[in-house]
Amino acid sequence: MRKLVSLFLALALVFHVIRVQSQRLTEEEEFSEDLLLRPLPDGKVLAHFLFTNLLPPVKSHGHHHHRLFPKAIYQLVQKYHIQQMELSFTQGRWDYQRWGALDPITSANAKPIGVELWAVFDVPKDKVDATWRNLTHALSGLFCASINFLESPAIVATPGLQRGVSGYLRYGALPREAVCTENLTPWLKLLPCRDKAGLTTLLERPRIYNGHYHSLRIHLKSGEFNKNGPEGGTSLRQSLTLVLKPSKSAVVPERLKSLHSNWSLYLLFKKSLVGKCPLASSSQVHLELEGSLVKGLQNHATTEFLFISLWFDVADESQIVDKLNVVDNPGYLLMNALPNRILKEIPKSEWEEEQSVHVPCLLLDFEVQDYSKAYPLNVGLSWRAPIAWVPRQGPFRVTRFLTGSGNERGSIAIVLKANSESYLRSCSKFTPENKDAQVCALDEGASGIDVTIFEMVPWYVRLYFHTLKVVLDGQQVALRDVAKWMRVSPSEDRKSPAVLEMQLQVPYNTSVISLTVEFDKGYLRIDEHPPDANRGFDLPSALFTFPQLQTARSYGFVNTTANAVFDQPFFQTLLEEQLVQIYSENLLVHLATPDFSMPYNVITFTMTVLALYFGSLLNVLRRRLGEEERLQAKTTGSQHAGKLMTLISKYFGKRSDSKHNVQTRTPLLKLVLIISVAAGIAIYYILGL
Amino acid sequence: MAEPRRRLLPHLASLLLKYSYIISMVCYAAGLVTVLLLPALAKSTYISENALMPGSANPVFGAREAADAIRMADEVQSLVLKHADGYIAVQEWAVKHMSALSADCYLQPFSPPEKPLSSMRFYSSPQHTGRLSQNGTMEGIPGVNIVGIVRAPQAEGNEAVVLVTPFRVEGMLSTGDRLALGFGMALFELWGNSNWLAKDVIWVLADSRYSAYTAVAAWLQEYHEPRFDLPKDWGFSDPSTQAWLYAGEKLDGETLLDFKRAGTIAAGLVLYLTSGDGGVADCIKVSAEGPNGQMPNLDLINVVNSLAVWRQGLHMRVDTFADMQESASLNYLGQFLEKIGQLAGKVRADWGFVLTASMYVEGLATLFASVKNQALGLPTGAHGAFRNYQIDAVSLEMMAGGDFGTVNEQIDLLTKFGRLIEGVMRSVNNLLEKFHQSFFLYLLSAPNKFISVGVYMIPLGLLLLTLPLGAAALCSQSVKTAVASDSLNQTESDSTDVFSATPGKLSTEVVKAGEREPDNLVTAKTSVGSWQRAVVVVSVVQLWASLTANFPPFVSQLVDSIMMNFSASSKAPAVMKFFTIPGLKMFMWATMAIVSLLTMVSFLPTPGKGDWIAVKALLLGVATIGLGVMSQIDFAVSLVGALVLVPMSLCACPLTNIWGKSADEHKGSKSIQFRLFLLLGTMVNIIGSPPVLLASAMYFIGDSSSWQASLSKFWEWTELLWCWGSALYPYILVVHLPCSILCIYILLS
Repeated sequence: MRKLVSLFLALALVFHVIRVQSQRLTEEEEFSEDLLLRPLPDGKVLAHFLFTNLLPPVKSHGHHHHRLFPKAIYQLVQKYHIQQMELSFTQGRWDYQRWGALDPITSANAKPIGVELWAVFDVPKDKVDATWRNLTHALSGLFCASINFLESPAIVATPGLQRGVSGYLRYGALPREAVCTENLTPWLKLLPCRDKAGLTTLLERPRIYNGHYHSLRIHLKSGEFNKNGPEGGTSLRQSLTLVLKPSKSAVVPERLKSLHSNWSLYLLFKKSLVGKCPLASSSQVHLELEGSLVKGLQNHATTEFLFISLWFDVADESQIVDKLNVVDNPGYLLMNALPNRILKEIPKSEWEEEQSVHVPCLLLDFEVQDYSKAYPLNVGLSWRAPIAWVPRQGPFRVTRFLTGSGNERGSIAIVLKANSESYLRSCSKFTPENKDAQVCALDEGASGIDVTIFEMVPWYVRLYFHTLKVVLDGQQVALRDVAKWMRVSPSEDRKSPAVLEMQLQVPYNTSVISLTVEFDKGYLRIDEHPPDANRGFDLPSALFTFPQLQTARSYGFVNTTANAVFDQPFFQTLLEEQLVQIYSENLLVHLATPDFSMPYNVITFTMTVLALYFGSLLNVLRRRLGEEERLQAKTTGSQHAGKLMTLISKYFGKRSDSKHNVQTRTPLLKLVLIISVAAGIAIYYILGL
Repeated sequence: MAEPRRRLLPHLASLLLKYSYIISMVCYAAGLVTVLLLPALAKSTYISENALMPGSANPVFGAREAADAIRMADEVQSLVLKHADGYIAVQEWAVKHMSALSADCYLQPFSPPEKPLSSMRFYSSPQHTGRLSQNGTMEGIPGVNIVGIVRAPQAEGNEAVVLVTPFRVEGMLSTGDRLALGFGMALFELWGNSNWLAKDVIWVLADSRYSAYTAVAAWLQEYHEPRFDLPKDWGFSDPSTQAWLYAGEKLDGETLLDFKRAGTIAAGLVLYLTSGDGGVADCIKVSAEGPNGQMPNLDLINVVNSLAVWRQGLHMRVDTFADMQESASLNYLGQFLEKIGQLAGKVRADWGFVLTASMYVEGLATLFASVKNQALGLPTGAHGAFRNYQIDAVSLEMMAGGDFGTVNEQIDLLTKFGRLIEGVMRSVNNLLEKFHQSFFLYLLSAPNKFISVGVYMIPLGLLLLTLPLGAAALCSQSVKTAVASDSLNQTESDSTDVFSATPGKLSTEVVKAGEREPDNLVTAKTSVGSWQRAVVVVSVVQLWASLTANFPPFVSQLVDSIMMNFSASSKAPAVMKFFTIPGLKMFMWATMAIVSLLTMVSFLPTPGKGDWIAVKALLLGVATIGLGVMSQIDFAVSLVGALVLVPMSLCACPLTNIWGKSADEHKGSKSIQFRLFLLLGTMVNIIGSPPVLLASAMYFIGDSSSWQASLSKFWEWTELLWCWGSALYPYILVVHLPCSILCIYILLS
């Protein structure tokens, strides 16, 4: 029974569905802006802009003139009865190994390349598809993107298990969609201050599109259309996640080469922050230092180093995280700004707290309103020592690739390799000498690591699900031994994609899981090929989730262990428990592509053959033997007139008059007939193809 | 009533058959002439895919990067000299530099190539790489490839370009390898810090202790056809290697053995650096021939050529026969063609072609080298491994004019080559689609001249045309002689004049004759009997040939097992005084072939008098089909084969026809000229027959010191052709051998 319950919970949580929703019920519209900065282990910097717009429920407050909430979005919600919707535009790959996979920000904002859209509707079942179609068109117009291609049911999945959602869910992805400023501008228009004031002034286009990762995201949630009556208002979260590489100064001394490059807001964006958006209720910049980085800094700290910062209570000095000073320490120097407050991550469970390996993350908050044109906010880090750290990785790193070659068949392979540094593993402690160690962070009774896989493959890649093989550490295992549940919907040509959803449960000490499924490559009609068809066809990313792991992070003041509740939307977002999800890279499949000049060749070739055939047929049909003989007799007669004349006529194509008279109309008729038949067939071919 | 009108097509057909000998000769001569004319018909190459845009961006690789390359080359050399195992030193060096770039890197151990002829796989898969056996063990020391991947910053990561630098450590790195490694690393760093990449770049440092091909093929196999269900135990005997590979765990939880991929491979470049072979200028040599004459897309060669010649001022070369260029007769031919070109230009301006004698000879030498490389069916370098996965790849051998003299010269050289490779990479990076625009079927007659399939099919077509024509002529002749000999035996009362009838009408005449005279039916039957016997003869010979073609693995295993037994008893068998092991294998194979042939021939039905005509007709048919099929597998084999096989099979006729009293006296054509003609044909036949060919091959390829040495050489060649799956092997054994046996059969009948 317990298993069943946990299973249900797992099902209920695959698609971002928020279990603990402590959304405030606001009386007024509210807008807030936040920027999270986080140094990454490979020297790059994560910048995550979050703009939250809250609208109180209409039922209790009545229809009103929106002051802040974008009307376009509100109309979408009203018209299509959207419960939840998420749209993301992404460029570049998220590097799960180097940039982390386990914290709320990365898990929610690491998105597959291109466009991904999913929505939950509260409409009758038979209207879902129509509503989805209309929504894609509306969004397409709103964001200047070809989201309308998602109207075709051939690339839209209906995840089979409704996962605790009361409405109907649709999922679609366009891996080839290019992302550019064209999409950013409409996104900015939804904000009350656009890019005229506040954090958005940082968004210098050449800088943000030159980064290593760029993901525009819109998350919309509305309580208006719940079955049990409206609960909560409508919230719109717009986020822009960037990974930028601070430019290295041209000449770096040899001894500093191993250091990460220094960065500041100005160096990253070529702009400084001069003030908040006047309409925002709060406007903050957060600098987050990951636990492992803090640990690395601690290791680097020396005993003689004790800098007491002015704005800490001297009494609380001993509480400052393990002698680490956040502003100036041997590891780095915080430049140009002092934090307004310093927060510490509160461990989620007692077990986590006990773990000596676990060092809490630190969050340094800066209030943008304290800064002005005269004194802009230009927070940055200047590194002093080479510090290496590893971000929190998921239990597995995931690769998906195609195997085989040629245009006929192949197979999709998914390989999950265990991360030794993984949170889950450090918890389960599966060392040889400690085999019976308590499995701690997981639900009791769990007998292994759960992995869910969601994969959607367009119909022209014809998967053979019976060839699905699971190999654990080089040993092939029967599917029923590892699969907790599985749902397969085979594709239908030009109608629906193949969808594979399954949950595997593997032993803790599994280090490699590989799944392979074979496919045949289908043939497309000539007009179904996209432009540049020889590039191949992109398959959307697969989604992996780990139901036993939730991302949620709560912060409290440094000197207390109590869980202080911050009610800014930013902290609310961090608090939401979400499943850890990892997207695989998308794939490129080469199908047999026709030579597109070939139809022309085929047409000309066939027409030639047909013309020859019709010519000889007409010749046979229209020949009159008697007349021919008479003509022959005549020509022999005319030979007496002079051999010279016949020779001349032979060579110059001139024929004697009598012959000419007979044959005048024949070629013309023939020609007309042949041309009309040829034209008819050509038209048939062109239309038919 | 006028005479019945002669229909045009049957009339033409009958004319064709009547003059088939002359037409065949003309066609063959025309085919030969066309082959010699191919260099004159070659077109200049052009970039077909606009997206490539070679040279549109200025390369940033400069003297600083070249200096870096040399510094790193020295670094790796000093590390190799210090370390006990040079390969591990290179691995450590590469991993250190790649990690510093935060690029992905890993090591890929691979098993040594499997023993040749240890399996029956011939066409199934490229078999040069050993596979782990089921229990995961293998023989020999595994090689280890080092692979680094630069991830394109803003790209999707489903396309990649591969750069390969093979290296070999023999105590130390050779100058070329050392510079190639440093050069590769400089390029890798350049790409690691660039933001223009749209495709990932994979750099494979191929451990070529066995061969560069083995290493690259092993890596590609793991990339495209990984085996998940085999436990990997690489059996490194050396504990330090073990420790380095397994304990070399990196900070982020991956091991060095973690195989990583980067999507579909768009193109491959294999780089070699060598010191000059006496050439004056720095040049770059491109080899492109893959297995069985498969070529990469011509655009790839075009890009390299245009960048090397027009941007970097490097000289570009392709494989050529150097000694052919001095040949006096070819020079005369070239001068003759030059004259013709000038003359044609005088007659009409647009007919003229400018082709100097030296250009022609050069073109012909290059073309012949191209044909030779394609016909052998062996890839000319590590790029051949890519072709098995439909990836376009070329080997670039960068040759210094001098001998890597001073550092300044090296910097100058590497700057040029670096800018070239960067330019090629930028071009391939620009490519949105895969290579598909330009030609895949072509022969090169110069780095910037090519002969496309539309042109080079013409000589083969002319050569092949003669065979069915000859067969048809013989067929009609056989029916004719049968009827003729028969009707001569008949009473003269029969007014049907068979001989005056045109051959086209023969069949109807035969039927008519058959209707009129019941005895003629018997004649037709005897004719049918000769055809039946011919079919039996031809199929028996074909069967024998295909059996013989499959003997080598058995022979090899048989001899090996015998040797094993003898080595166990530590007593060398008496035969070993005469043979080396390969020689013994070859001898066994030849003996088995000859014995089985003789056995089979003894079961053949006794031939009738005119049987050879039917056999020859069938032989011509079989040769046509064989050559036609081969042209689809490997065109060059078919072309070279046709040049030999066509005259051979056309000229085959019984020796008795030359001297003895002619069988068909009624023909009255036994003039001296005719006999001389037949004699000439027989000579051609003798030259083309297997013993003579073998002897001449022995003269050319084997060292002619002793016949044993030649035997072992032959066996080595057989092994080579078998293991590379070369189309030349089935051509020789399944097409050429049975045809020449049949020719001998005809000669002796």
